[in-house]
Amino acid sequence: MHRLNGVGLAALDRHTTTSRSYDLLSNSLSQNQITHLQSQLVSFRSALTAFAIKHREDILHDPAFRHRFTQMCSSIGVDPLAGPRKGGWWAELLPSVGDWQYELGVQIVDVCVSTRERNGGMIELSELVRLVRKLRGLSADQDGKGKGRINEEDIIRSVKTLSPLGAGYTVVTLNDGRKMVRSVPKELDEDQAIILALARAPGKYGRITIDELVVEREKGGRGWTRERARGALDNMLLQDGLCWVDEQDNIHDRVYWVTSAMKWD
Amino acid sequence: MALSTYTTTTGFLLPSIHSAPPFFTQQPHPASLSIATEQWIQIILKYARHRRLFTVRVEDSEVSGNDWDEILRNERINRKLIPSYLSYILAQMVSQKLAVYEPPKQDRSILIYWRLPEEWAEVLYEWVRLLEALWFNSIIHSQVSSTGNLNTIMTFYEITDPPVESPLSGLPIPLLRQAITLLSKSNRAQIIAISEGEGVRFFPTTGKA
Repeated sequence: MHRLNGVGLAALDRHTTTSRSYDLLSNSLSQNQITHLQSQLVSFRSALTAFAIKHREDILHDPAFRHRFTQMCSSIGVDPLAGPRKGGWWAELLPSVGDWQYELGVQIVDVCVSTRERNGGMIELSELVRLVRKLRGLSADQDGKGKGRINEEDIIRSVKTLSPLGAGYTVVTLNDGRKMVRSVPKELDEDQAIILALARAPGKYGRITIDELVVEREKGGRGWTRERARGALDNMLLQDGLCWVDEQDNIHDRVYWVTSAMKWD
Repeated sequence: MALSTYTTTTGFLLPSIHSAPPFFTQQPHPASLSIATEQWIQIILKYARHRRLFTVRVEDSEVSGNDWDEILRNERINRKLIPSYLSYILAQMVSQKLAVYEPPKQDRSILIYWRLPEEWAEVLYEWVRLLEALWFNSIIHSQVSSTGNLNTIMTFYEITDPPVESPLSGLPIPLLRQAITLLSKSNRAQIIAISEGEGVRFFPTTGKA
């Protein structure tokens, strides 16, 4: 029979020894595996960090890239928003952003949201600065001194740091050099509805100009400035992709074509 | 007006999007741009095939009186493809391997692959085999073996400018060269030097290479 394993008490003894050495082996194996896994995790984390740093610009500026990056993170079970440090990964990736900047960001959002009703999500930069200063308890012309002072540069920088939120906050420079801050807004759905209605009006076939939109709003008794009309159309064009632009019209610099209202044979 | 299709004087059917004024402007929104560009690429490829055109240049939209007038301009709505946008479209075609810059090292002019080089290689080889069959039937040439193994030699000129119009008539030399290079990879052809310049020797297929 199993002569090699011995018989009787000797076999029992031998069995214990064998099982002990198996335990030892198993322990050292799992120890090895854990060490291996840990080192893999470390190198994985450093690779991910290196990737995030290398592609920091893309992550911050390219929504599609950012989306893919977060998708990739979530598919491997890493949440880029949660991290070992306070503020999470994004805070590590955005070292320029301190609490001060966050606070200013919140104030900007506050002003943008509360004025949207009347400006449709387009606010002139100087006006935004004025309202944020008011919110911070500063006098309107105070930008050089005092605690918590801010200027246009601060606002522009802060608006840029809001961009990873994906809410569409951007600084827009108009043809005449004036700057406006745009927040893309649920409220603009109403603008879209107004524009869509006009684009579908008899004989329009989706073609709309800024002038037409201004005239149309005038008729409705709720006048829009040209800037307001242009902002609404540009939002549809640039943000939503609901319009196409034609820059070869004889009269107008830009003619907007609402694709959903165009009629195809 | 509603947008409708249009048949040009050369009998090419333009899709209705070609009568939409904004189609001729480069769209700022990425999704719109990619839709419009894809449409342009299809139109250019189809028209090139329709007219057997091999070249398109950025200037072709700016200056009228060339082969592309019907496509890159729409006189009915007074629009022409903006050259910077055409340049973008050409770059897209090159990156999608539907064209190459020709001559190389510039980006104003492309060689259009309305057939891919691989397809041209097959067309060329089939055409030569057809010729061989015809020769074999008409004159029993002394060199012709019983298997029809001709080892035909032709000049580039005989291929691109044959007395009878062929599927290869007018094929640009760079494209012909690519097709021959592909055939030589499967041992079906070989570029050779002949007295009139360059030529190509075709070999019979010995099964798939």
